[in-house]
Amino acid sequence: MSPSAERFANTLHRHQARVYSIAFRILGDSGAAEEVAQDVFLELHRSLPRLESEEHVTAWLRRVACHRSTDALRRRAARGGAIQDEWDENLSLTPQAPAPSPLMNRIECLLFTLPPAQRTILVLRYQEDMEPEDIAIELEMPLATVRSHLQRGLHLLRGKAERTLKEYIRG
Amino acid sequence: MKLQRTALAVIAVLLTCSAALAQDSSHFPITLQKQLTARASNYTEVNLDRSMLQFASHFMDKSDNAATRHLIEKLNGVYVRTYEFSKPGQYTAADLESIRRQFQSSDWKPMVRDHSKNGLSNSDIYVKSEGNEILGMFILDAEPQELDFVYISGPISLDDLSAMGGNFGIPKLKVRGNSAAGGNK
Amino acid sequence: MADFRNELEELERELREGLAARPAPDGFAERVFARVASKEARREARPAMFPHWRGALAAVLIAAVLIAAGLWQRQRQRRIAGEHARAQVFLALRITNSTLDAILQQKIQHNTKEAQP
Repeated sequence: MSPSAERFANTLHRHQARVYSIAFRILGDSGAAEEVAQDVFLELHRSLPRLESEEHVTAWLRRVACHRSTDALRRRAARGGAIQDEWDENLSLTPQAPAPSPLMNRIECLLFTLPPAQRTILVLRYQEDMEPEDIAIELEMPLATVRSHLQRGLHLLRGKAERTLKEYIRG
Repeated sequence: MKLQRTALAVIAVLLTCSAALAQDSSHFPITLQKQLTARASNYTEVNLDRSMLQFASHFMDKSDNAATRHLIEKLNGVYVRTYEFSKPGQYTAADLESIRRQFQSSDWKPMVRDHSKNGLSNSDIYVKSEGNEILGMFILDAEPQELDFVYISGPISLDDLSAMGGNFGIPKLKVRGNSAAGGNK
Repeated sequence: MADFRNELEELERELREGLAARPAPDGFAERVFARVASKEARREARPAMFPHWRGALAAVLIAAVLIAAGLWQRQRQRRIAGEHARAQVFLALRITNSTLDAILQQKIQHNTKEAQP
């Protein structure tokens, strides 16, 4: 295997979980997430020679995975489903692929009830461990907007988690 | 000299037939295809005739879904065109009609015809059936900035497509069994 | 206030743990490699380089190398072409299912809206 092919293969194996997770948690659909994730790595194959450091590669993958996922979400919304602007109590995109742990399954189910903007920011904050300032740069959004989405998302998740627990207790 | 001219004429006829066959096989008008390719920011074209499908099935191993292998072994062709545009207005209603015209013989029946009044979205699913068996399916989904076309020739059903879902990135059909127009097998 | 902060920290801890990267589907890497291979298969093959030999023995050896290289090249091309065809099949089926699903879901939404009083 040539050095460049080896570098690509190693990068793919190292980052496939990250890229797929970003796509899956933004799109809420394992099939669409796989399609987006494959497209990201195809683009990486073309661009890898220009990416010098591991940090550069990670940042590039996050950015492209995010943008392709939100583009796919916009296309899906244009087919007739309205983009969620508000939290929809009744909306739940049950993940098709089972999560590796009950906690992950629960968190993802809660996450999927949030509007896409808040969902994206929470994924970047808690999956990718990015600071709000870096998220703002990544998404080309004002920092205040990122903080507001983060705050609102956490508030909604807390409320939803409490409700789930109460229903569980009542049941 | 006469033999040479005859040979050239035969070659010309063969090339014309092969080009015509290429269009006939995919049922997608070649002129329109060239125009859309030039205008699209992103496009995908897949042409899998029977021999290609059979060839591909030889390279499917045990880890590949058996339902997928079984399906493609019985098909005559799968043709896909998808186009994404950076702005609306890159194709017209007449363009869509030129595609639908390829499927307007008496063999083809509409299963779904969903045309929005504002013209912003058009969806068609046509099937060709013989008795209770579907022998072909044509899908056209037109949005302001995207155009998707699928033509499947050969025995196919929503059950077949549903069985493949959830594997290898193929989405599950969430509406499996819903009779959008009662055309399911 | 302290309770609220503790609650928030607990939620953030759960989010970090619950949002650890989930594994990609089985065979994901193989499917990416197949798509990469199918793109590369379209590029022109590099011409084979053959050493220069003298004499009848050299001619026989060259012939043997050419035949073996030809056979290997044909097998390699067949394998690449096969992987490409397989990747194209899955691509076509993915597009088919996602398009079909989008249309049928939209149809159901319309039917539901029309059925409402």
